[in-house]
Amino acid sequence: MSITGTYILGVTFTDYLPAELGDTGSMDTHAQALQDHGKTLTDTWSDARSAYNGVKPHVDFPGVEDFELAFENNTQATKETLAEGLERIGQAVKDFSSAVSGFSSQHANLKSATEAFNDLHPYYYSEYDRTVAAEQGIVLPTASECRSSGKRSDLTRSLRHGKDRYQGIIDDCVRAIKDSSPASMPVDKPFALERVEALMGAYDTTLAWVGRAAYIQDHNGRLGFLWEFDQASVSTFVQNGVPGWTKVHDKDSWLGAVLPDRIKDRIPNVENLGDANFAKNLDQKYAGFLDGMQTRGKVYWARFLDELPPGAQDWLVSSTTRTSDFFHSNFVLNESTGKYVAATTLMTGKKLPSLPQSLVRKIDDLNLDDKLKALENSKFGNVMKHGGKALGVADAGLNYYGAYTEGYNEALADNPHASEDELRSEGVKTALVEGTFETGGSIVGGVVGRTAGAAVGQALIPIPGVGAAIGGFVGGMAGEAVGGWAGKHVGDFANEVRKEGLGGAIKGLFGG
Amino acid sequence: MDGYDIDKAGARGAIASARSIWSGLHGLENSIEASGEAAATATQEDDINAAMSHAFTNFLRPFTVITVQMGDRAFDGADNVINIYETADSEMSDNAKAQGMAGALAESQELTSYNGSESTGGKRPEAVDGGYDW
Repeated sequence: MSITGTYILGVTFTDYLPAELGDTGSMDTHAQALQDHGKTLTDTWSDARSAYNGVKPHVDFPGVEDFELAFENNTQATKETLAEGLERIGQAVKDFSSAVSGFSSQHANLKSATEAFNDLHPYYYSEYDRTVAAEQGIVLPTASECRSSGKRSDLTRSLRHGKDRYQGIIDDCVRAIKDSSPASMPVDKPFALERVEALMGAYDTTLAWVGRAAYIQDHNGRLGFLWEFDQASVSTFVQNGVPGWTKVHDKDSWLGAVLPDRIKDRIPNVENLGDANFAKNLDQKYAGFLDGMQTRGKVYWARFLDELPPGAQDWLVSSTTRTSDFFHSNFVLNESTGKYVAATTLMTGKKLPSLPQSLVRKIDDLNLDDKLKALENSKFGNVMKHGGKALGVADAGLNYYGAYTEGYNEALADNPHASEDELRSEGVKTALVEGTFETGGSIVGGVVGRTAGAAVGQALIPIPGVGAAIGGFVGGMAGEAVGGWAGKHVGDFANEVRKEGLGGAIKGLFGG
Repeated sequence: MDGYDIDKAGARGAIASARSIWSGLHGLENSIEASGEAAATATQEDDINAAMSHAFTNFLRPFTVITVQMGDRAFDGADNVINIYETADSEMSDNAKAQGMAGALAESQELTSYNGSESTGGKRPEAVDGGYDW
């Protein structure tokens, strides 16, 4: 009777882990170099600003503040964002290096264990085999000298654990790097086909629901849409709240009955804004406001604030905690058309698709502002169509999205024959403004300050949309920022709201 | 011009000093790229390299180039304002001159365009043998 044993496959270490881990010393050195570049930038900027401040004793003329602050306005926001990005990316590499160092002993042990396993006799012999061998006078390797399925299973289990741990270290680093980029480009393919298909599938439903939606896109798994409005529609907007939303606070309406209080509490009730008459003559107020946006200085700003009813002012103050995470909007005045463009992100707290279909159908029945449905045929409707291409771009792995994608799409819509370089340039320009907001902190104020100083037309003030009344007012404030002084204050306001009231990133930039 | 008082030499001197300091950042995007590629290479991880490459291409590089360019642009604008003040046609009205100065200032604050091949100086780093090259 022959003794065959059972052949046990060897284990390939590199199927689980790299043969060698990275050079942590080199990682630390070059990560530090990245951070040093940021410090160099910061120091050089400070020195240059100090030198430029030397003009102050030598110039005096109307509007000299813009002259004196030209360098600061032009560079501060991007400088801060860039320095912070370099610091964060460098730190991400350092953290990876540290984690790799902590993992190195496990890596070495697993590697030794794999080599030891592979060095074992490759056959497993059962007790029966050994009995037969003994009867025939054949000497077999001992059990400890042979591989076995159990030993192999134990080893591969350990290797899988090691692989998971190491992959986790990599993932942490990748995530940290991605989070360091204000454009927040994904590095792999999170927008894989199913996401794209889900998004596009949601589009038809949501387009009907919103009525005004012209461009639906995925903001970190949430729905976002574009809409625009002019002075008249803003007036209606403020007076009535978001069309249909007044029903939120009407207990007899289906919407009032179906929505939970936690959501209703976050939707402004115009009637509770203090002075029920404040919405009267809004057309006139907005006309004055739009005119005022072309002016500069504190006087107009203070006057405008004074015009707000106490309730609205209270809302502004308290909205840091009340704006919630339901709807977020960015407002920007398109000076060429005189219309505001808003980018709204639906922050349902859940990832796509999250809207109950029954709710969508009921909202659809509201027949929201037909006028705005014309947007489907507008420039922004056109953007939407090209958004399909953008999603295709994402699917193709280029993964430009958020602000970057929007800039890219805008350029694509404007010029379908634009070169890739031109499209990327527009994407970068968009991300340059929008992205700084995403980075958060004090940077927004700087961006606003810069755009405020920078003539007109391109100001983008990320404002948390609170739906109706404040959305309109704040949108107006965003426009005011174009005028100058108010920009910094609106930026501070946005910062405060973001820090205290907004958990997720707000994306959606649409150039004026 | 009533209300306009500019010491041209003094102002130009300050601008030139600031410009000289700022010029030290020319080519910074290439230094950042070299450090980033080296760091990514040291990790020996393609996923990390991909993340860093994306961050560089879509954030670090454009932000660096535009920041440096916008600084230069501020200095150019400031010089232009003074030049207009100094050389404007004597028959030009004060109002027209003031508008010219304001226009030069506003123009200097417009965001520069950017494309991937643009540089503020120097050359992109050479690929290191066996290392990542963005």
